[in-house]
Amino acid sequence: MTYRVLPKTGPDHSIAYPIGAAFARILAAPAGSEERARIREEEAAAGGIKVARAGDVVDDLPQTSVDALLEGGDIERVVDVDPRDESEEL
Amino acid sequence: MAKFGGADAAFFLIDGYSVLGVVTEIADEQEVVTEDAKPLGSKYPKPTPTGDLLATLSQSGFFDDATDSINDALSGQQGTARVVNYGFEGNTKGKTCVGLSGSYASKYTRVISKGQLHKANASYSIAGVVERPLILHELAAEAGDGNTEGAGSQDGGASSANGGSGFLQVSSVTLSGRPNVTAKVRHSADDVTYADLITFTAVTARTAERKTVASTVNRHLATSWAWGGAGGAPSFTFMIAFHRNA
Repeated sequence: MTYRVLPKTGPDHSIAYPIGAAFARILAAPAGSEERARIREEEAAAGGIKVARAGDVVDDLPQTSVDALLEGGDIERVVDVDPRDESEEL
Repeated sequence: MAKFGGADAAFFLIDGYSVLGVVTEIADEQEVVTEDAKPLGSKYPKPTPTGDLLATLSQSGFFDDATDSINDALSGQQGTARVVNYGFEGNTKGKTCVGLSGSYASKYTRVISKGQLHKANASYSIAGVVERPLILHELAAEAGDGNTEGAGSQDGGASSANGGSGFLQVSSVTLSGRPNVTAKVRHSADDVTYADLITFTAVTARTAERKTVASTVNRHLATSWAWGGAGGAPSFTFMIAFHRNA
């Protein structure tokens, strides 16, 4: 799924999330644990944490985080338009 | 639960003025205002809460006319609403402090006595609320961009639905050619993805701000700070705390 980051707190609104292997490593450690904190810091230093800002369209958000971000008004779904549907209308 | 002593006093910040070094006593009072509802025919008082709350704060300490010290912080500003934070459980993430908004240091007293150091005392009338925010970033200097989403994040155990208040106190800034620095409170439902919760006004000099949010506050809290522009070696000394509304 594709999502757009909304300007919830202002034009500089941002979300930070792990991508690729960083996500798997972080998720493998218990939430709130020292181990997760340590891994997160390691991944941040290694570039494994991505920051998306208001207006950015992203398709790599951790699925575990999507519901809370949608409910919180941080992101919205970007509806994919099927080009075949458009051609039929034309 | 634990006992604390004077050495645990973490900071005393008035609109970014860090004055703990000259303060010797802090006393705060919170009072439920009552009226004696004793009717005729009754022998004993019947104090009844009116629903009003009253908070006061007073501080005692040494007079110091050094730049950014107590006299700069208080003199001539009796009519100015101040943002005040003080901590008495240690200058540590995860400890609580006290946050006051709409506080007027309405009475500033300088005491000159024979054989003693001069004293500087103040008493505050508090028009705003008294809160017990959690320290998310202790009063400390940071250079460059950063965040506390790793080891410094705070697990509240659960989300809360009624918003809260963020406090930012900045005691010094070295811009080093940068235009400003923006500090934020961030939150996360899963300790995986963090989103902005509060964005404080961009900082260019010593300042303080209390900012509220009405929406859900997720379980995990952290802070972040980012400098505008590029180059140089910017740094600033700041404290961020957040109070969840019950």
